[in-house]
Amino acid sequence: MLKLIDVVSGYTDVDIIKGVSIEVGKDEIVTIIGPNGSGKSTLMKTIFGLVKLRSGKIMFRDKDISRLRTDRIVQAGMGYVPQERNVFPSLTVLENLEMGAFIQRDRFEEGLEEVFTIFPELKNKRTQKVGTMSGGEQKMVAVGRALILMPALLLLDEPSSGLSPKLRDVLFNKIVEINELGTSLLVVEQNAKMALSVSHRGYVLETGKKRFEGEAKRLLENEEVKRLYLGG
Amino acid sequence: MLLQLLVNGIVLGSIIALAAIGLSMVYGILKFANFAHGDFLTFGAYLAFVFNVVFGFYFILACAVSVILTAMVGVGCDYAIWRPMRMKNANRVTLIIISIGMALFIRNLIIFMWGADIKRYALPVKRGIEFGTIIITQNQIVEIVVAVACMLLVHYILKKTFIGKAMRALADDIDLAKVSGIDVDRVIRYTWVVGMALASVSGILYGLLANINPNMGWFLLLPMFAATILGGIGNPYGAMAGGIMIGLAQELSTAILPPEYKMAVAFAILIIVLLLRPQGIMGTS
Ligand SMILES: Nc1ncnc2c1ncn2[C@@H]1O[C@H](COP(=O)(O)OP(=O)(O)O)[C@@H](O)[C@H]1O
Ligand SMILES: [Mg+2]
Repeated sequence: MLKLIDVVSGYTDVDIIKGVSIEVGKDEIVTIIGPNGSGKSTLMKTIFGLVKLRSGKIMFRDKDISRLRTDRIVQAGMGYVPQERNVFPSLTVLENLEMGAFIQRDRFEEGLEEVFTIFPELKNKRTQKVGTMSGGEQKMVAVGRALILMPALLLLDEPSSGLSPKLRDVLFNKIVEINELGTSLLVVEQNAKMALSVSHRGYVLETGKKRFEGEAKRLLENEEVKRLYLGG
Repeated sequence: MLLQLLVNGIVLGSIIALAAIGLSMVYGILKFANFAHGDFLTFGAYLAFVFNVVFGFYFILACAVSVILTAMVGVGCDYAIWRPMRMKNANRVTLIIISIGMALFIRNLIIFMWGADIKRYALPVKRGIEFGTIIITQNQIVEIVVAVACMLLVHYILKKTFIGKAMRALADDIDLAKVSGIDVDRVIRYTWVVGMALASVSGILYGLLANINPNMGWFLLLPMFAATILGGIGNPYGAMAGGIMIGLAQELSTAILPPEYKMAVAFAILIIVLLLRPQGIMGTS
């Protein structure tokens, strides 16, 4: 589905991502963990064409998307929920979701049904301004917006940040639900244990380099990973 | 007397409001103050004059041609200047300086083409209608009707059409708009269409109210900025409200101040708002 080959990228002339190769297979949930500032968000922005790719290659569904414009990447079937600033606060719930379907408006109604199946809480808040909603509700809108065209692959950057432990559980259940409906996911998470426990595979990123990779179960059991990244 | 000033203020205010909408929308999305906006207003007024007086078109038809051509020039400028600047990540100061250069270029082009003297549209002079102590001219009635119709149209576009909602989304967060799959360049072009078309309408209406001269838009730029900031920069609804308020303040001030101070009134409001409530009357912190 998604394949990164020796990706190098950064904001200024300093490389933040220093040659990373990762893969997300069909129907997989893959989690990237790693300390703060290790480049997880930058990697996602690079995939989505928001940070310039210096070298390497990004393949998506057997197509080279390395230098594709962001809206074309969406068109190719990828969705992305950034870590922060991931909703349009002055727009209503419905308008936020509509924006996700900008490139294929004829699929909006169908997608809306799907989003309301996953997040029924949003159904009777359609006309509420998103800026006035709680953090948890905003998160649902953000994910819903990225899901509306039913992407083949969804990138989630720290979806559980700022959520209460209870909402966090709900969210991880939704992630599994989204996956079961046929969307692959690449998730970046601070709550490493929880994320890995619902994932098929995982990667550990540190200072822009891949340190560990493997089945999520294995990573959760790996002594070094446990000690360094999962808090003992 | 006061009632007459009130009427005049609403008329002037609605003209400022129309121009301020485009200024504010462009600021909201592209995050720069477009100093050429006033001269595009002049440009629109002259285009209507040329088609009306020089080519002998019906006034309404000349106006329609002007609105379309002004909008097209706006889109052309985006392709030729603003879009390349976006791709180079040009900073705001660069953009402002370019817009000042553009303003001077347009004004001098107008003087070169049509001279610096005052022009008028080929319309019969009609008598004003008296309502008790106040006189309302037919032009004033037309101006208010057209301005209200334009504002309702803008409201419809922003709230009901896909592209209008996308304009609001871009003003909220242009990066998230890209991430959502919105072709931001296309939405920006439509924003120019709306802004420039309104500038043209505003210029024509101002030409009807006063006269057509190469400096008309430049002199309206300050009240426009005042309206934009008063209403909360980037907020088209605020620009409408701000425009009406500035127009009213300018006209009502003539009850106690000599009319030459109208511009100073707009400037004073601008400064006071910037000091006391920089987010504008409609903005949230
Ligand atoms: N917009 C930016 N401009 C310049 N440097 C940035 C920007 N965003 C992040 N960085 C830098 O890139 C590095 C990786 O950041 P980030 O990808 O956000 O890490 P993570 O998501 O893993 O916490 C950090 O050193 C950070 O300072
Ligand atoms: Mg991050």
